[in-house]
Amino acid sequence: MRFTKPSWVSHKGRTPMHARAPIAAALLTPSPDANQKRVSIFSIHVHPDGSRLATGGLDAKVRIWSTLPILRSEAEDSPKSLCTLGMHSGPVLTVRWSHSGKWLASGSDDTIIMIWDLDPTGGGKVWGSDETNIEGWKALRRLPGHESDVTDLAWSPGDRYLASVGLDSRVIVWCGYSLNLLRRLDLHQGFVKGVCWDPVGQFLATQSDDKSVKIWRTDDWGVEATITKPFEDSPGSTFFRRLSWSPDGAHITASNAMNNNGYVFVAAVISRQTWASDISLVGHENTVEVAAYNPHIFLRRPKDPITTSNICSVVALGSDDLTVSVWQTKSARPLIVAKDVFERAILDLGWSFDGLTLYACSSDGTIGVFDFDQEEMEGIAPRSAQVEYLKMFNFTPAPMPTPLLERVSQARTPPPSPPHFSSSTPVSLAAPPTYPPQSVTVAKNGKRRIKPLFISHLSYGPLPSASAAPSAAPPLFGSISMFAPNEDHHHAELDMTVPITALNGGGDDRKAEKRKAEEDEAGSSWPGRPTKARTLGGDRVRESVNQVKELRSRVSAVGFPPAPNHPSTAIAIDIPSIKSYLCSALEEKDGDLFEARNPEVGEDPTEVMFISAKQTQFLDYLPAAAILLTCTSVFCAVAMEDASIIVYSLNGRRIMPTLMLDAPSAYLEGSKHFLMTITSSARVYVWNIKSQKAAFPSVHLDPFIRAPSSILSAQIRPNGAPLILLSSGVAYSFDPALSTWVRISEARWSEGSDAWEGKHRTNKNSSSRGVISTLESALSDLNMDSDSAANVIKYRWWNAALTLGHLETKLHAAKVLDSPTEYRAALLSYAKKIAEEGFKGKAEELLKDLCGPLYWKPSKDEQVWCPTVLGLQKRDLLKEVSSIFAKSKTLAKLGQGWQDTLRKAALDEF
Amino acid sequence: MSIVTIRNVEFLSNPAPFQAEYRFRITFDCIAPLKEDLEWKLLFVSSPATEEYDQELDDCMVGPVPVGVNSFEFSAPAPDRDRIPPGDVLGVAAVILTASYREQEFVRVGYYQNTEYDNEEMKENPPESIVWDRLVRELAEKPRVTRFSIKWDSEDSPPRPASPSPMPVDPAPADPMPVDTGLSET
Repeated sequence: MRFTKPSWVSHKGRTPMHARAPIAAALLTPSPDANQKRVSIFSIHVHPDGSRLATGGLDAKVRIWSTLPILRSEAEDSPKSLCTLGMHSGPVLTVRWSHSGKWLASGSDDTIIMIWDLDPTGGGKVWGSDETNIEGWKALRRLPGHESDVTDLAWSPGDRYLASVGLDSRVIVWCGYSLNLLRRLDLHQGFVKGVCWDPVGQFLATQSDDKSVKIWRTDDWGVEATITKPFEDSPGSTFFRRLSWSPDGAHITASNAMNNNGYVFVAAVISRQTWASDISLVGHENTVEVAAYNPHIFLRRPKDPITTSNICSVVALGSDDLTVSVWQTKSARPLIVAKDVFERAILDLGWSFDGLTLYACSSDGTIGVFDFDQEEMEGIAPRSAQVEYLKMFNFTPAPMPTPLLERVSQARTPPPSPPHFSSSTPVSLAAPPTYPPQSVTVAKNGKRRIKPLFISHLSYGPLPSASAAPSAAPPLFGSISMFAPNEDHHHAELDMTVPITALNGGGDDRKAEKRKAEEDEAGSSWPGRPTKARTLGGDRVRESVNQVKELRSRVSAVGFPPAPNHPSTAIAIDIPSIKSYLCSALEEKDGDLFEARNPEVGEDPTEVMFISAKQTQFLDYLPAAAILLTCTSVFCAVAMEDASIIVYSLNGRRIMPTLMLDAPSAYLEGSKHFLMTITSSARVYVWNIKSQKAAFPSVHLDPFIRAPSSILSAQIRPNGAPLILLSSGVAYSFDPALSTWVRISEARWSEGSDAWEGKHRTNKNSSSRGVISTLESALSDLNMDSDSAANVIKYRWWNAALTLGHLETKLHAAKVLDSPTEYRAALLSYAKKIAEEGFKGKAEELLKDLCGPLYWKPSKDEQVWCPTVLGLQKRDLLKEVSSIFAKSKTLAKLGQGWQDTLRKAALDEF
Repeated sequence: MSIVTIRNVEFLSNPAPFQAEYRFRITFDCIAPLKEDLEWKLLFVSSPATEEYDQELDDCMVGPVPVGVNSFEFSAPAPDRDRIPPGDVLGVAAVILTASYREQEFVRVGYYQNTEYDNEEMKENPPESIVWDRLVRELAEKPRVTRFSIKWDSEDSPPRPASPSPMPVDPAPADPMPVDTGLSET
């Protein structure tokens, strides 16, 4: 291990204001002297690609540093400070990079959270200062919501959410894409000083001065558990209570815990599910401020397979006793203890993505860097092992609600402005652009009012898209990417590889090239790099995606004009705009990416490429521009402007003939071996790629989508059922058995049904969120007018009729969409509702339906009665339903009778 | 924490005859929606030691301001020469650009202005009474920037179409103290 304290990483004291308050204050401000005092650094976080370090300090600044001169002594002379961000007006208490590396979030004493984005052209001399920013990180969004200091922030796995906590006792969950406020969790009774996400995505954990850790479910944001025991005697005086979740999901290590009635300072290890804390990390002589797990899982016996019993992890602790300790959970003693390296409390810790470097910052204004060798991190498993292992939890995070995304994109539509300079145009051009005459009117107060000229938006790159981002985790062994920026650490639409320009020797190309060559060599000797099998295009260096341009704008459905190239077909659905770059990430496998590049000018053909394990698996040239892409674990498909679709296997074989449609695709979705497209003429096609057959003959969606109703989202289920959500608040699927469209769910039920999940969000089945439940919350979000439910005239039987109707619809929907868990849940709710209302007729019919012929024996009469539904045994369901009736007031006799019958039937069968 | 930040101030008339109007192109970032206009002022400080002779050259409202990068041209007449103490005409003075929101100043940008005659002879032997037509002014390129923390719109102002829960009003305490400039270095 190598320990360094780069003294140049610092935050310096505020300039004292000697205000001659009147007019000349700006001129009379004395020049700050160069030897300003170092001030506390509250937070530190390393970029997922390992190249940049962010720090937040008492000086109200966020600073971004290059890690190269820290990690490589020979690079000592390369630029160090990359960017200083001075927009906060209070100390910066937390800085956190998103997992994608695209955004940096900072939280401050000024109650504001800022999201920073890299403007590739924005570096250079900072106006109004002597500073030169090598990188142009710029404010993208300002998130007000807290009423007091923001103490900690955390991005959820896949950047689906951003959680913030503060001294206003609040926990706020923000959408990781739109950055809108989603939820406010107001149950802590004291300052909240730490937050972390479950790597599985199921829970959120927060730690507060109310001497508790709360675990929140991400599916309904309810409290799963409140852990208080380890903190009963914990002092409330610490700056932070930063906690961390182990990469295998099994434990949380919480800071500021106490053993022996407050005599022993420890970190408490809390187990998942039981939420009990039986293990403490003992040894620190003062309060533990921060715990941080190494992001990799470790194997106790590296040669054995990855099983729960073979997994351990590495966690670092930072304490008020000025000491950093690193523990491996298989050992009772710490791996290392670093004493006397800081002069004041340790306030934050952060591991690099490769798990080999630990960064610590202290209130003494310094940082420390622990750089480990691979051998010292015994048993470290690759990131893929973690991804693989976490699948065991079988948890599907809630998808991005589509209506939200739609609205966000609408909200960002630029106001019309005559000369539209793209954000890549530097504002301070040497030859100034010509400006149109400005519009001057008279303001209310009689002064003249100038309408400013809108120049550009604040987003500097493509927004992460909902489909691509969840799997857009940072690259494996990301730290090498900074030495080889054009290697293959790319993923979905994220330009993490913006090279630090200054590293290229100030524009000396030859030098840069030479360096690049050396780096390539270094890169290829990286341990564990697989030898490459030959693939079509496999040896080509993937070009980085700098900026996605819109080549042709979307073809709008307004007025149903004829489709281009297809004059006979009217357009009912907008065809997406044609972009210079598009991609689709394979969710099951990290980093696998199917991408297309449309030529911006000239005769170049469109290219598609599939990248797996950082290697181009195949490429192909297309006859027309690509509009949409999708890929699953079975196939990749691309829809083209000329209304055709090509389907490839993951090795690049065309496993279907080129499919010709009636109009270009507006949606293209895949799931397992099913592929769905909706054309602009509103025809829906679903194919089973495995059996090479259409799941059903193509059908029209026309009747449903006449204006003003439009498609909000379209997806395909793994069983081949399409699921289409319309802005009218109705979701449809097609049932091939009935040869008709069926209504899966609709917002109408929310106006009276007790079982409406979108509204109540009290989903009892907390472990995973089903498709219908997700749909219902999307419908609720759509139905913004929250008063509508209250305004409905209540008829006498309104509530009961709507609840039963809703649940019956839901049972059918669960069957069509193949969601057994939700089928069972809906059935039980249905039984309860019937029991509550005492509808005996319905109850009997339901029981008979589940029971089937009383003396039915398996293997006989299967044509007549099917003993299972969605893989569930009907008789098992019958047991549950009859026991619900048995416990009810009105149907107790009926239920008990059926329980007896069932018992007898079971005996008879033996 | 400021919603509006200046990206650049470009001089459109510099150097210029003393009596010519000042023209600037100001480019600024706005990171959240604003309900009101911004007010920009240009001040002329002839005697740094006292406010008495400060002159407000012009002010204007700028709006509506969309989120994003915006720019406008600000012009203001030259100072009233009769209000400048004769001893302060030549040499160093200052021009100050300020921006306010809801009558709270959030940024102040100062430039030194050097005033002299346009020919060597007059420079060396200035005439007894000032010959205004022969004076030229030049602003130093380097701005001195001071930022102030103010109360912007009550923090509920950004529209949140997608947020299912209503946002309560969250007023940030107005901080009368100027915050870190850090940028006003020489």
